[in-house]
Amino acid sequence: MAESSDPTLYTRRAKRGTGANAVEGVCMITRSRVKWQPSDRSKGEAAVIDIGAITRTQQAPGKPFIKLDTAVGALVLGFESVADRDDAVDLLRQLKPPAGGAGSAAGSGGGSAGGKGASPGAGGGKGAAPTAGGKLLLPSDTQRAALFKADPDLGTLYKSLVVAGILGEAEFWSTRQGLLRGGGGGGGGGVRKQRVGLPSAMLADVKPSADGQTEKVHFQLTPEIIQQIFTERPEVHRAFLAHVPHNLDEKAFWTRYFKQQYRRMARRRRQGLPMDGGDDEDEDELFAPFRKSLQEQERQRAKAEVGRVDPTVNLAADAGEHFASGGFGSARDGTRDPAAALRSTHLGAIARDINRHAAVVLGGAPDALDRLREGSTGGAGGGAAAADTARIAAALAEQQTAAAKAAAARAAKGKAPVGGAAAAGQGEAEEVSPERLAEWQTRAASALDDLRLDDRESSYMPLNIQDPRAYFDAGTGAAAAAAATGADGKLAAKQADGSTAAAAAAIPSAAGTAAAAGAGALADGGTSALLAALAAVQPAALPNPPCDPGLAEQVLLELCQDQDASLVQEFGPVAAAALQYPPHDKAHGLLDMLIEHFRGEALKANELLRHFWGNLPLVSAARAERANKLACALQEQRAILVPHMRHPAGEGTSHQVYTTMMLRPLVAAIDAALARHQAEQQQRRKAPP
Amino acid sequence: MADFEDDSSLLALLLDVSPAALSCLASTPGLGLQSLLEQLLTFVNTFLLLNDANRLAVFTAGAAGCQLAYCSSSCLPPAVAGPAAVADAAWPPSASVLSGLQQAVTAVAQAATAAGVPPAAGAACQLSSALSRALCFINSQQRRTATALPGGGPLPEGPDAGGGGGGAGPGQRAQAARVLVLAAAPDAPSQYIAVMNAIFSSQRSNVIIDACHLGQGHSAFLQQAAHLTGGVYLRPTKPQALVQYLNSVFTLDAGTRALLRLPGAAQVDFRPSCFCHKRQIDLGFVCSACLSIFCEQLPACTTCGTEFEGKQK
Repeated sequence: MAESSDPTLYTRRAKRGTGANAVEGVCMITRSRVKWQPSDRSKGEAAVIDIGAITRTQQAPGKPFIKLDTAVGALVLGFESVADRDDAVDLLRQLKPPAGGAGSAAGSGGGSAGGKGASPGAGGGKGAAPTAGGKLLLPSDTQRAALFKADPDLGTLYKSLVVAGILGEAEFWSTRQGLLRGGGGGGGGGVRKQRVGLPSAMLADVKPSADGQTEKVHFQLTPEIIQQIFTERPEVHRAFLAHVPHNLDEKAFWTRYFKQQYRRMARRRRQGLPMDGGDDEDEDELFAPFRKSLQEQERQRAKAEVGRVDPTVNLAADAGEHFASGGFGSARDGTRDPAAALRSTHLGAIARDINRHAAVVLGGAPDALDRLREGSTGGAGGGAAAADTARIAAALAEQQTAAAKAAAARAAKGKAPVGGAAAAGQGEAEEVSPERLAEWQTRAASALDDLRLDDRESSYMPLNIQDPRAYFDAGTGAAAAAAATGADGKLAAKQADGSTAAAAAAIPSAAGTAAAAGAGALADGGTSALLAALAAVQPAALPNPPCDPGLAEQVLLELCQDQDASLVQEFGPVAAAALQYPPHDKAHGLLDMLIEHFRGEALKANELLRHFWGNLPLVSAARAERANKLACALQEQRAILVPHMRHPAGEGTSHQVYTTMMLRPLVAAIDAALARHQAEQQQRRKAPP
Repeated sequence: MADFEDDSSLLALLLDVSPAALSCLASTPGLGLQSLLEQLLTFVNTFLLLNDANRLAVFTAGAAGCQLAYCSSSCLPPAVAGPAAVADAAWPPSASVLSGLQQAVTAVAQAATAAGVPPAAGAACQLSSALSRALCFINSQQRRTATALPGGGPLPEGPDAGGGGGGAGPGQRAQAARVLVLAAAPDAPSQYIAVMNAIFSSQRSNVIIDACHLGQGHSAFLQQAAHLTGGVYLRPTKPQALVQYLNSVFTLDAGTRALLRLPGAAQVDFRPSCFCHKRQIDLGFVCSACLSIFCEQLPACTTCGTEFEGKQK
């Protein structure tokens, strides 16, 4: 069963097609296939392509699209970001059947050198010869050497199984695809680039440093900080684009920025004082107009967004930004504090800043900066700084417009299915279509919408237990009985005078009806015999001695010697006693070399067993043949292990006992496999396919 | 006094009185039902004598469910504990246990007759419901103890305060609790899930399950119960001397056991029952989402509805 499954290696949202007709959906890549499923079944058909059948892969540089050509036709997918697309391309390249024996390593090596932005489609053209084993990744020589070096056991295993000819190369590696794909090889495999994170210090690094002698303060800027400032404070970004270098030079720009920042910082520090001018609006005239226009834009965007955003969720988020309004801690009693209102606007501003910062940090470093940094490695001196800043600003702007376009496209597409479409954008935002409302409701009901299945039909599968009556009848019977006893217990408590026994076990006939509902069936000879026995016992005069003293002595000895009859039979009494209490150190008294040997054999046997079970049930001749081969190997393995369990130095030595203890589970597992194999074979012989 | 380690325990004894068990016990040579009961009552007396604060509850587990046959007076709510304690003082406690058992068995028999249900000769006991019942009982006892003693202070009374032979008062700290299952019926694979659930809850609530299996063969349920909860599973080779087994092994509280070498099952039978046909299997299919076990490959999990992709054959 494990063999037959084809796990999904990659799942991303992706649209099929381009432009306004694109259908939203999910792209999944398994070891052998590329699948695309639409989010909404009514809007498009799912597509499945064998990776081996892909004749050509094309990507547009800088745009998140991929085109997969096959003999039948092409599949065009648009991902949410270029990074997603690149991941898919990387994966496809890895999964693609190699054109030649050494082709895979060379191909992936070349790909990694090409970097992210490069088009790796070159290799796609030649992989036109899909083979049965082609889905498998096989390690290159260097990769294999690296893997063996990292895990010597793997090397031994490889030697004893593959080199010895018991397992094929492909078989051996098929269970270790993860090792190969994970880039653990290091030998020329395409190591995936890690996205750079951002510090979450919230521009705290940009602290003024005073030299203590003059009144001046100094700020240190790095490209990262500049980029962060630009993303977190769009107004600064815009001001920079508008004024530098035509009206201001860069230094003057930053000086103004930090002057304003410094004032703001100082004001926030004195936040408690109500006379301090108080609001964030008195800004430098350099940034103010941009801030205003941004706020206006933001307002409009928010208005448009209101139509699309699930109100249940958003209200909570909004309340979070205004957390200061209610106050907390000592500031809780807001009504009595005249400065509270003022402070709340301050706190609101801080909360907004934090949120904005958090969004930027979570978004990670954009690729634009990455590329810039790659371009200007080493040249981080003062001279390059000005050009850098300009380039950062330009790259960011470019990225933002691209993102805006994508968002607009998404919005347009989102509107299209809603219907009207003729109505102006705003008019449509006013009202919420019933479908959308229904969607919100289901989402609110399910709370975690990513756990919801795409397919409505299959999302509600009733809990189905075969023959529920057999299951629950017993339970209800017991419950009824319990209820009856419970009620009687209370009754008894009220009576409170009878003997304990009567109180505890009062089951008067009233309870009979309840117990009868449980449909008990116990009124035969067994019960009467029990009742007779109960009546015959005289509790005040229990027999003395209660049982045969001779027997009791034997039992005592048995319990104290604590021997398991079967073990005694197998190993003799002394060894059996030792075996009953395996020491915490299971390998007690065995030679290290021997243990090492056993370990190797155990690894080998486990590997063989894994492959063996993978071939069951024997549904095809090929499987049967493979299973036969493995069964033979297992038999040999068993033949190696069993002599160790015999008595090399006479009956029942500790050596033999410990060895046996160690090897017995392994031999039992092999025996189980062999037995199963025989059964399967017989079945196959009986009913030939 | 505050650091005094309490080695008393609360023992819930489950006695299997299902038809299957009774026929098995009655046919054991040298151990009739009467002898069995006598030996069991001896054990009960021993247990209660070992420690003043020991508490006992006896349940009968039949095919129709489970009945509380007896419990120590200190297990009763405080309102009735006072007068009842006096009655309980009547020694030996085996008398009250016996009459409790009689009443429980009679009641079940009467109920069955009243309902007119034909007796099923080979019915096994409802181990799952009996275990659950015992666990509920233990839980309620422990809760009561916890509420009766806010802050967990020192014991409000010495052993002398309880009077002559009466159980200690309700002011005890949470007592170590365990369940002893005295069974003879074979496992009913259909109860597998319920029994395992009961075992797991007892494992969580630190209740040891001991098992003494008198029937033919081993009981996989009880083996697993003892193994998972840290109890002892015992299958007496000489059931005629049952009391010796009981007294040597099962009177011991958990603390004492740590110091002793107790007989244990060398091998535990971990085979589960499949969820689809309730057969005991040693090789099966497991749902990757909910870990349900099946004896055959299914297109979708019948428990959680997960669809199994891949080749169906």
